[in-house]
Amino acid sequence: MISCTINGKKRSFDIDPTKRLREMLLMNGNFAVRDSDDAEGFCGSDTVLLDGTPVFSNLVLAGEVEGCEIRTPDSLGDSMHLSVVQQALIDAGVVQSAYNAPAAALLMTWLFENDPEPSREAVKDALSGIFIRDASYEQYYLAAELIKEKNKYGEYKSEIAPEFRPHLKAVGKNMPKVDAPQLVSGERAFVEDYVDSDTCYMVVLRSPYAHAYVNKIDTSKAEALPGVIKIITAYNCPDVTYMSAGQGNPEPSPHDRKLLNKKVRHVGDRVAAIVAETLEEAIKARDLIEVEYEPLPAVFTVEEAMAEGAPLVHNGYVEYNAGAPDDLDEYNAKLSGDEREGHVLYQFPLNGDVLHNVAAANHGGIGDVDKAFAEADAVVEATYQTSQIQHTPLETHICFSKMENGRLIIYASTQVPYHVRRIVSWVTGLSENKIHVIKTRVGGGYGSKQDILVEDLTGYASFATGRPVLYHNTREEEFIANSTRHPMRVHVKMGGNKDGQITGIYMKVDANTGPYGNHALTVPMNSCSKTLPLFKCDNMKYDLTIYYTNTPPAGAYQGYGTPKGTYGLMMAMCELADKLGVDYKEMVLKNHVEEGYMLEILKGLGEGREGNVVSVGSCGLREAVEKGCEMIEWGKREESDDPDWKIGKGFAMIMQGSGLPGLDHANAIAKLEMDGSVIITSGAADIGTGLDTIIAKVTSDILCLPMNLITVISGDTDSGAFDTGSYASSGTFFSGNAAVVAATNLKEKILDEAGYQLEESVEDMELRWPGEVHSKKTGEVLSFYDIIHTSTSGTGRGHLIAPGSFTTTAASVPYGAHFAQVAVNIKTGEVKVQKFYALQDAGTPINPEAALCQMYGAALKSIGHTLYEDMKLDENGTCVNANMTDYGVPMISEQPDDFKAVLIDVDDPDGPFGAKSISEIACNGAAPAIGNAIHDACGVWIRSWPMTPEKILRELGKIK
Amino acid sequence: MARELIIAKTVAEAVAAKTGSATFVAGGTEVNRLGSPNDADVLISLKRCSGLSDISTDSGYVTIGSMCTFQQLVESAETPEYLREAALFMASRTKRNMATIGGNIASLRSDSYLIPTLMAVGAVLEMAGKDGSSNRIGIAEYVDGNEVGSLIVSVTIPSEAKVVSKRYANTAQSHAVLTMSASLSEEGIWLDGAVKNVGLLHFCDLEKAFRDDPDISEEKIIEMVRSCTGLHTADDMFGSDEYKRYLIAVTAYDLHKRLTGKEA
Repeated sequence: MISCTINGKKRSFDIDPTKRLREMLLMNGNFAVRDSDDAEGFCGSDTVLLDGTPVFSNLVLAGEVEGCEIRTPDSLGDSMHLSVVQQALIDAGVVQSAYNAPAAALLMTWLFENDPEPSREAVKDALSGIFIRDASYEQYYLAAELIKEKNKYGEYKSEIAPEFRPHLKAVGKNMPKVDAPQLVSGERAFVEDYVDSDTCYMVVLRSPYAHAYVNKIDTSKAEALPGVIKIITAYNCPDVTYMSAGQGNPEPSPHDRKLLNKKVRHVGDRVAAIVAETLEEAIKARDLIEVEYEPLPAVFTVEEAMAEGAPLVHNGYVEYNAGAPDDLDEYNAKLSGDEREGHVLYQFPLNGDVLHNVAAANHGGIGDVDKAFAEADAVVEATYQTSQIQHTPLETHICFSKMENGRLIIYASTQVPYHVRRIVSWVTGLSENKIHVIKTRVGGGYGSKQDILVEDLTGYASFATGRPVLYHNTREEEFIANSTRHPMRVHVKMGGNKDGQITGIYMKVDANTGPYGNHALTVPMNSCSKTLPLFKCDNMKYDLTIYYTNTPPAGAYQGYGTPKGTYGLMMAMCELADKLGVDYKEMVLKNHVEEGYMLEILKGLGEGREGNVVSVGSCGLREAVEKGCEMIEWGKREESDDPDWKIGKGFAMIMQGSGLPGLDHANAIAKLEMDGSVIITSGAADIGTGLDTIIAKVTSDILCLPMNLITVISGDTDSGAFDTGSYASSGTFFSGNAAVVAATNLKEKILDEAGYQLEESVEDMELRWPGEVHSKKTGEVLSFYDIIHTSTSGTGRGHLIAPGSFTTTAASVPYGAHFAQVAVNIKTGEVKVQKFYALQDAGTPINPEAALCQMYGAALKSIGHTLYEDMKLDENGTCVNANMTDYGVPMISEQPDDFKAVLIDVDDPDGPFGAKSISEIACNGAAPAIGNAIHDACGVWIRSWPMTPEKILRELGKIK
Repeated sequence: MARELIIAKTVAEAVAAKTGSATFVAGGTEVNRLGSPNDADVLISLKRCSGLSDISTDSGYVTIGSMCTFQQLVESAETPEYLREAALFMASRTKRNMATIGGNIASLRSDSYLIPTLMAVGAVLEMAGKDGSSNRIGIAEYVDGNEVGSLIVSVTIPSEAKVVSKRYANTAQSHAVLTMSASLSEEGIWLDGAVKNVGLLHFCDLEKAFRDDPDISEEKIIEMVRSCTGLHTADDMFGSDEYKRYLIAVTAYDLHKRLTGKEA
């Protein structure tokens, strides 16, 4: 028996003393002490105070805390009674996906209890043991100032973020994110918090081979273990071919996998799923499964995949749902068609050619690039290589599912609830009305939860066993079995004249999609479709080919392919400016698009179909460039006191999209409740970025109703209506606009009902704050309560409910420019990012403080991609750094000392209240800005990620 | 998976409990972490062991109890600056609150935070014997494999020494590819390092080169390390063989320059 004090209360536990303290705390109900790293002592989600000192509870043995005092994050205050620290974190906007926000709140509380006036260095030190992926650390410094001010003056003195649109009460104002109190206080929020006590556990046996047939699986010993419920293999699972991308149906991705395949295509691929009554039993059973593999030669790079006679990752027959080529039979005759291969099904042609390991391809352009290059004063040509990068959400992939009265209930941490439902429907054979997907709060997605990576298997396991089943990825599985950022080889040829005019651009992009084709076309396509439209250039051409390989899978990642295309193009542009002797800034200003410029290049850049040719809409690009250049003092040479350190500056212009015009679709339903409050049900999936808050704010301003009288229910497939999901920067624009439509429709119904009840013309009715209708003619006033009470009285006209549906062909494109100042040690190759400025046109920032945090978060993340992050595979295709420490994510130590996010004020005509997207675009600028700054500092072009000291030394000629 | 936890209250208790299948647990950041090589049946926790967390100064030497955490080293006024600097190489404050000097030495990691510095100043370890005796050995001797598995009671180092160090890692929290420390004594420079996946090294050839010719050129040092057959670096995820050798050379040269005041 172990006795200790937890949050001031004496507790005793009958627990094995060699178990971890966190396990004991979970027994006590302190579930906000979470685990993000499987006891690596890295992420800090498991932080508690042990006798007043922050420690990782996963690294403390239960038996060591006898007689100790333990304090956990949930002790700080509940969502109705927040502490000063918790409130300041919310107000500063840092409570985003928030999986470890309670732990961060605990650390900040500890800091202030020990030092009421902490310096910036002290804040940095306190947060040095916690990994923040979503918001970066910059606004934590602001939160510290807010705490100081609140404690000292009883109110905040500092500006939290600039505010926009003074005529509105909610939109553009700094207001707490609606889910922030729940998240920061550590209340139930995530999938793991909703697991039933009788739940079974599932683990997955994964392939040790990069490429092999699974000829035989003997599960008899495993199945003989008590507690084992079911073992699912390729030999007893549904014969359904699909793929994992959560995209609009029919998808521009080949269907090329089953739940479990008879051929494994990467180290970590699924071989068997084991369901048992306890996790320990499931793991023990996994170890007893005997598999007979037939290893095959593998390919790991696009160069290997495209080589003549390369092993084929998919060697089964190809099928088409539509648009099959006439010679398909002839084509299939060249494939092995081995039953173990399965088959590849294209919903429509994507220019795939599995005989050459090509999953998809696209080619196109405008004008005549060859002529442009021939006539140019200078031409540069270079290849830029990007690395394989993991999303590293704090909450690893998890799913809990159960059967209830013949329906499959799925608790999912997903960006795409409706696509989860559809794909699980395909796998189980259940119709969609028999499946209920409940999106909980999402502890970090960044694109990885746009793929259906665990819900298919978990849902099927519950369906097949009738039991509640929990599946939770280990951190290692996040690396080896999830989607990652596609490694790409971006070849750019660019020509220009001495006056700085760019005359021709050619991009050849070869992308590595890994073993499966989820997002094969769309992610790499963004490397062209979200970069070439930055340029006012009449001659542009692209060749895009996506290859299958046997690396860990690739998929959606914040920014899609844009960061990689931007890296290639903006580096090449800087190289061209250098070659022509033109100032890079002047070249940018001469060549960027402006409002009204017709983007002919988009015609060939649709997602598997012809793209929309539109003109440039609202555009804050020029202002971002000019303001950023002023801030960083472009053209001024900085010198270091140490001759080994050289300082340079660089920047890149950037763009993204706001959803997919003509493809995306969102819905919302607004209801006036019986007391005059409003519930708005949205199909949207808030993944921590504040989408629910956006929906509440636009509803508030349209209905003239205070925020506290509006509740948003989202991501629940039973109660909401279809939404394509949170990806491609669609949330604010599509789901936000759907809420605008629903709220506007409800407003019209309320006005109509008020006119009816007052026996006046609806034209004389107007909405007034706070939630009432005023007659401009008679001065009569009806509150929302009066209106709904009468309308639902039994003799009235019924409940006031208004749906809103939004589709569009309009494109609201966010623009921006990111700037870096770096110091490079020419002796050791070390790089320090001294300054990083992110300037972005996000239209109307509906949640300004959250917008800044997302810019900071994405920028720091992409600094990590540029300088540190890289999944390394050995010669067998095994990822050798599948843990947080060796992988190398940026934390507070890596954050630039001078880090600024600036919102460029642009009012977009199509966005909800003028808003555009904010977060994805912020991933696009760091690589070229830093790459160009490194060149400015020491004269070398680093043409591959990550830009390591070793690569810099090699380019400097210090090593060969 | 350990089957038993023993909470030792004294050094004698801890030592007595140490059998072949048992291991000591100090701060827990090494033994309890993901991927730890530890597979002991019995864990002997030292957290309640009396007398292992003190720092004291006597006759120009500082004696640090083996259970002193990195953060204690950072905060104690008695900690020599050169050791404080090495302790701060561990970037995570939360981890510094847990990890101990004794644990860091005993784990003998090839990316050790502290051992290069402790080797450079010739730290002396007090070891507790099974029979209740104690003996003192130099840290280099411990690193060579003597007394590994025995309980480190304390570490004694000079209060003042001319020591400089440098650590290279992908990020501040990553494992270091190279940590190198240099000290200057009457005999000349002492150079020690931790090279990831290679080990804890005493760079005597480099010391000799600097002692023989204090003005030796950087190019010569680079060439010397590049061609050194006794250095078993290799290509791995932390960098190429050539990169590591280059880094060792330029760092050694730089540390020598800083120690001897020959900085430009």
